[in-house]
Amino acid sequence: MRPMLGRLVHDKVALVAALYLLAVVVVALVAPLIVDASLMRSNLRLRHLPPLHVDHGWWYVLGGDALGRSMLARLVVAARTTLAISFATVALSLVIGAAIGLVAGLSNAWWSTAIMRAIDVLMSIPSLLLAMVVLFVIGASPLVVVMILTVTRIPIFARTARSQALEIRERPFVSASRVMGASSLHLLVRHMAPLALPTLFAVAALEFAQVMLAESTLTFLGIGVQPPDVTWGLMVSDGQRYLATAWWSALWPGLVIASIALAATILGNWFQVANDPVLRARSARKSRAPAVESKVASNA
Amino acid sequence: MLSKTPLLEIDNLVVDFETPGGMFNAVRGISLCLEQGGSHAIIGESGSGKSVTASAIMSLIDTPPGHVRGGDIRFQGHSILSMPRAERRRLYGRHIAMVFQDPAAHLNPVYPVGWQIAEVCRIHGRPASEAKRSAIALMDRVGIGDAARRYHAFPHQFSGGQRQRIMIAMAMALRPELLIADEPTTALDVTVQAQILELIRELQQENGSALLLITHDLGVAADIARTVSVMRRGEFVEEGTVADVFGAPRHSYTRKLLEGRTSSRPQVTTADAELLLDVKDVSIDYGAVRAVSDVSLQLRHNEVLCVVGESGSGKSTIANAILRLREITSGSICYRGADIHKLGRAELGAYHRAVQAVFQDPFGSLNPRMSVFDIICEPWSIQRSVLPKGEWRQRSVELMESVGLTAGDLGKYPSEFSGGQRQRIAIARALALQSEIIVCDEAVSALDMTVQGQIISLLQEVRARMGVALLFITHDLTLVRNFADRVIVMKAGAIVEQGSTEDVFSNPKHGYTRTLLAACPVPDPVVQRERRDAAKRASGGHPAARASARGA
Repeated sequence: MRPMLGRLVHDKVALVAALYLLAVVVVALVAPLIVDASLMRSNLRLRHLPPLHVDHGWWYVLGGDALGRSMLARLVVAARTTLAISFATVALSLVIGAAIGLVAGLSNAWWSTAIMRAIDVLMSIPSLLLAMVVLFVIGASPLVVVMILTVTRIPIFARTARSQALEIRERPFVSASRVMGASSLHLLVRHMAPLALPTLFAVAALEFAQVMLAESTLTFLGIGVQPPDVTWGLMVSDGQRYLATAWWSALWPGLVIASIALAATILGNWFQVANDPVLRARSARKSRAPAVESKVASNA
Repeated sequence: MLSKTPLLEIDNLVVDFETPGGMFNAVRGISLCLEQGGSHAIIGESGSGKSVTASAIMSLIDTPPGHVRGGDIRFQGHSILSMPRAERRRLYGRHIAMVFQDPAAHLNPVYPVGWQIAEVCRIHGRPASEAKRSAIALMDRVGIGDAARRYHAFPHQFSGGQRQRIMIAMAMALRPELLIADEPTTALDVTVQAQILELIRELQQENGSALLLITHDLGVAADIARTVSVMRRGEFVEEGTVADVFGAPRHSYTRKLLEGRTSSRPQVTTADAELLLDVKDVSIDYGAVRAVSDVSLQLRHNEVLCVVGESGSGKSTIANAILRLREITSGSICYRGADIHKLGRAELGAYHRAVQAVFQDPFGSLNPRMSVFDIICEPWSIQRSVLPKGEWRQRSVELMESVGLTAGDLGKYPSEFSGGQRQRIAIARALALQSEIIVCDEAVSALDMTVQGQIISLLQEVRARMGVALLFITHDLTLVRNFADRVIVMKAGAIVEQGSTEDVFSNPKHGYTRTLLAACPVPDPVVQRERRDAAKRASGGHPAARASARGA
């Protein structure tokens, strides 16, 4: 953990992204403590209050929405729902997808291929279409949104995990372990999972941004999270009706979504590079060790 | 002005590399002078700076991290280092050419080989049709049969030896005055190596080129070079003619290299020892290809049995079958009389405890994310009954010390060790279960010569102290001589000869064994020339023609 932290401090862009995400998470966690309930009630006198002045207090620095609620307060409250949905989705699909992929990667048997073909089928269904059908039939709630998004994200993790497992399986230390009489479970837990996880985490960071955007899309289309729950996607959806008269009502939530997605992507890329010795050497070319001798360096 | 400027002069060359741990002095002020038509070898182990020197001549050093800090390289009196780029480009390919170690990596897989050979000519201003004609002539010259048709073939359609011939054709296309060969035969089988060296020697004589050979193999240097520099840690520790340096080495490092891996073999009689492993008529198919056919061998208690063969001989396949990493097609493998494919669960566990392995790749055989302690303890975590967890720490310290490492190394990770040290860790892990048999699959092939010697003596010590039997798989016949009790020679999936080491070396019965023995170059230029001539007489005819007939 410590070398990772050192590497993060070294990469200024990734550090800024990490700090930004951390700040957003903290805000989301403490939201109920700082946001007064009165700010969430409609106040028609402050309807479409223009932003960037503090005549009505700091909470109205980003303006008011169509019902006169504080934009800033709503953004803070929405952070909780939005991040919870994205995080739950990514965590669930990571666990399920990685398990499927690693188990499928253990063997060349027919069932391993069958699992992967099933995953391919799942992948070929347009996720938005699937989401629309299911949400229309069983009704929208944050839990259903998480489940739908999880199902559509599992294939990516499963395929990544399987390709990692297939590669790791051929390495000599796995053979050595087999020679000791290791069971498949041992190989999975001791060798495959630890080596596959960094890559999967990197994919997860990238997926986090994707999932947030997908959730926003669903909500924007009116089939995702419903009021009184609020997410950034819902705020964009509400605000777009007033774009001509009150541009800020859609701009702020849109900016937050974009910036979080960007930060998560930057962090995901960094994580992948920081965990791969080869990529790390390439990115830090200046401080690269000489790899000129073509043979293995060895002095026992 | 001097009437005769040397072809290549390296004058006090210094090359440094920036590393995270500070500046690494790869080359520390070496000087070298190579005359027209001369042949010089730079000998050294990995990390000695020999390849960096070759890269510096060809301007192949990446800057950063590499920096040529001082000195000069002059070709026909002109400084290469201070030359404008365009002028340097005219030099490379036409006047100085290079052959690399790995022809598979240095040929572009998406272009036909003939086109790639012709490219050299086109770059230096020949019309395309003429370039093609000369490429075909060159392919023919280096012993690629049916050159006009093979011109359109792709690199993957050739064997390793043929690809190296193609690389040599590219290098010699414009009859350069200087040919630099960086470990040109290291990736090749020993019989193919002999042919490639012969080809380089012939082409050098035909074109009057000078040769600068970079190698770790003293036998190769003795075979082809007239003068030699021994390089160590960026410096030449000894220079002179091959006869002087190899005949009467002055520096202790040269002597160490020449002694190399020879160590005396303890006389152990194992003929009537207990039979541990009995492999009977085993055949193994890969799809339609028969990799191993009807191989039988026996391994007795405390015996060292070496299986020798070139790539594709099936030696590693049979090792994997014994380790149960590979299913067999027919035949049987019995351990203490019981067929290992008919064992129950508990008996299988016991078999895995009795038979352990050390693999070739010291970088791949240890999990990079596990500490050395976890690596050594892995066998006990799988075979729970061997050692109670409370004793893991103490026993692992003992094991580390028995392979020449310290208790302090247990907390480190594999990346903190050199190749030889990693192989020691792998051996410690193989010893953890107090096995009776250790299968070593090319266990020292990836290591430097002096390190090979250390690992071999460690294995000998382990064998004497712990009474294990070793099944030692290798392509290197010379390695076996002072190590094995018995030798099995394999070719194309079958055993061609087996017997006691004495018999096989002093009185080889099979022609292939004799070819193998003759093909291994020895680090003595006079003896090597006699051996070479004898081998040539024995097989007769033109080596290139011979090679094309055999498809090498």
